[in-house]
Amino acid sequence: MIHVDQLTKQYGPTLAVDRISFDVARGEIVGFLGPNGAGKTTTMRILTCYMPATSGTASIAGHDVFRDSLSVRRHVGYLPEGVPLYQEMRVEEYLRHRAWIKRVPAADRARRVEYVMERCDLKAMRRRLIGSLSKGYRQRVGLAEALVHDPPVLILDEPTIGLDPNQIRHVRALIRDLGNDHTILLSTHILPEVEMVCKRVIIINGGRVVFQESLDTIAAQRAGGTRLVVELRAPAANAVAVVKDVPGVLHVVADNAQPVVRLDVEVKPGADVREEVFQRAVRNGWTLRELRTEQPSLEDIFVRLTAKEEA
Amino acid sequence: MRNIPALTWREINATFFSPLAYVVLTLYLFFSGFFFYLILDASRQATMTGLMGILTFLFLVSIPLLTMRLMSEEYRSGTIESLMTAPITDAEVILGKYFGSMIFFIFMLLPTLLYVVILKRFGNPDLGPIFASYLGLLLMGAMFIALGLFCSTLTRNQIVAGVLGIVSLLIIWVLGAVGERMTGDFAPIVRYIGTQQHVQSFSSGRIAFRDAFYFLSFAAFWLFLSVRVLESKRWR
Ligand SMILES: Nc1ncnc2c1ncn2[C@@H]1O[C@H](COP(=O)(O)OP(=O)(O)OP(=O)(O)O)[C@@H](O)[C@H]1O
Ligand SMILES: [Mg+2]
Repeated sequence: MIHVDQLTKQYGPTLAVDRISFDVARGEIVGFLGPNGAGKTTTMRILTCYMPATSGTASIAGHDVFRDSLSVRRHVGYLPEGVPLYQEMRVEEYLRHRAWIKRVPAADRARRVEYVMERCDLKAMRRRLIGSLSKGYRQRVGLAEALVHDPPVLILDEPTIGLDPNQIRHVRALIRDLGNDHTILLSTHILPEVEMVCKRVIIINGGRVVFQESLDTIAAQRAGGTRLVVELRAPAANAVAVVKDVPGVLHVVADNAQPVVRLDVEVKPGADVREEVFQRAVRNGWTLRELRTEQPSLEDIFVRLTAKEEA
Repeated sequence: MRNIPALTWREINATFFSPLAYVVLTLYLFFSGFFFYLILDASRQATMTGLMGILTFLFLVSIPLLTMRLMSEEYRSGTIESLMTAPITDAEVILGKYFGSMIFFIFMLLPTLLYVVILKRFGNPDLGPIFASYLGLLLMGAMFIALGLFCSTLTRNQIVAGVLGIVSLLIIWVLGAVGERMTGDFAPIVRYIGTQQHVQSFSSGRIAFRDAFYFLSFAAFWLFLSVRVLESKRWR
């Protein structure tokens, strides 16, 4: 649905996006992550035809963003970062205006506007001037605007920023729900949100894609654990030797405390060595006080991939 | 071009919402009424020729004040991003705004018809030149608005756009007089570019294709440049 190939954007001397390639399949909800200044907004602006790329190509629903930009724009609902809106218009009036511009047939306009106001919890605010709304409500107007022409693709730049916890939940549920019949690319800095909402993540840093994986795969890797914490009542040196011998264990570090030793065990990805560790402890007559997998969260992955380059 | 009505509608709404539009409208009505009285009182003639000169000058100042908001405000508030990612062409954006301002301009002209009614009631004015004058004002407005809009596409700062508009209009206004005093091959060109003689031609009751063409071609020229500038804004 979204196809990005070797996309590059240069602002004068600044290389904001550097040969990015990725795909988003129909019906997927993809989280687009990266530290500040990574190039998320820039990529989204290219995809929504706000600005052309310096080089590379991108297409949405089969339409090239540069050559066939009007078709792309008809297929995309876009929530820009910072949610720019006409302050002097009223909520309903604004949504109707945008529906008109986006070619929602006149007969359906009122119904569509009613529907998106319902979905975004805006009905009570329909007569309010947008300029007098709180940040969270403006955010919702922006989201309603993106939805108003029922586009197959949604591109949302930080959709939950500035919302209260109830609304964050509400919007997440809404996005998840929209995922049933829309393809969604969303950027955010809230990592648990990605885990709750998205099917896949793309992490970019310094304008390059540094990580791309489905959340199912991440979760599966986690279940096996890549790190194991073991606490045993045993002599440290013996314990290290025995655990190191277990197939699948890559590396063991002990804290050398007496009489209880704590081992930090690195395991081959995908391997599950917990039961074997337990068996060996029993065979040696050691008391097993703790055995748990340390799960690398999305946050760990994010920090590992994006903090490294800055250092 | 199907999206122009939606854009024009929003533009008219925004104009009627902006306090500046009312300030400009009030001052303009006050001065035009004031001068109508002064001229009539002094000349005792049932013509509009004197007033047309005044109106032209008032529009020269007030049109840039009305058009300076058009694009600059979109740039400043960031709404340009929703506008330029909507399924509308850049030309539609410009024309939508242009027609919005044209309609407001016509709305500004309407109250002056009252003066015609007054003249008709108490005198016996020649309606031919008055009709020609109105046509001239309309065409002149079409050009002034296009130039004002062009100035607004250049900058996110409304004040800069407004000042630039007024200064440019003044310059092309005086070019006619400059042309009169010039000699050489360029003199006729400079005279042609100057606005003054074309306006005067209308207010003396002559409807000449040459003058209509002057206003319409320049309006088209500034609109074309506006679209070009807007397009170039994408390539930052
Ligand atoms: N209009 C612009 N002119 C010049 N440089 C720009 C412009 N917009 C963005 N940049 C630069 O491009 C790079 C990427 O910016 P971008 O806004 O895409 O980052 P981002 O990933 O959206 O960051 P954030 O998480 O802070 O929103 C940054 O280095 C930024 O300074
Ligand atoms: Mg951003």
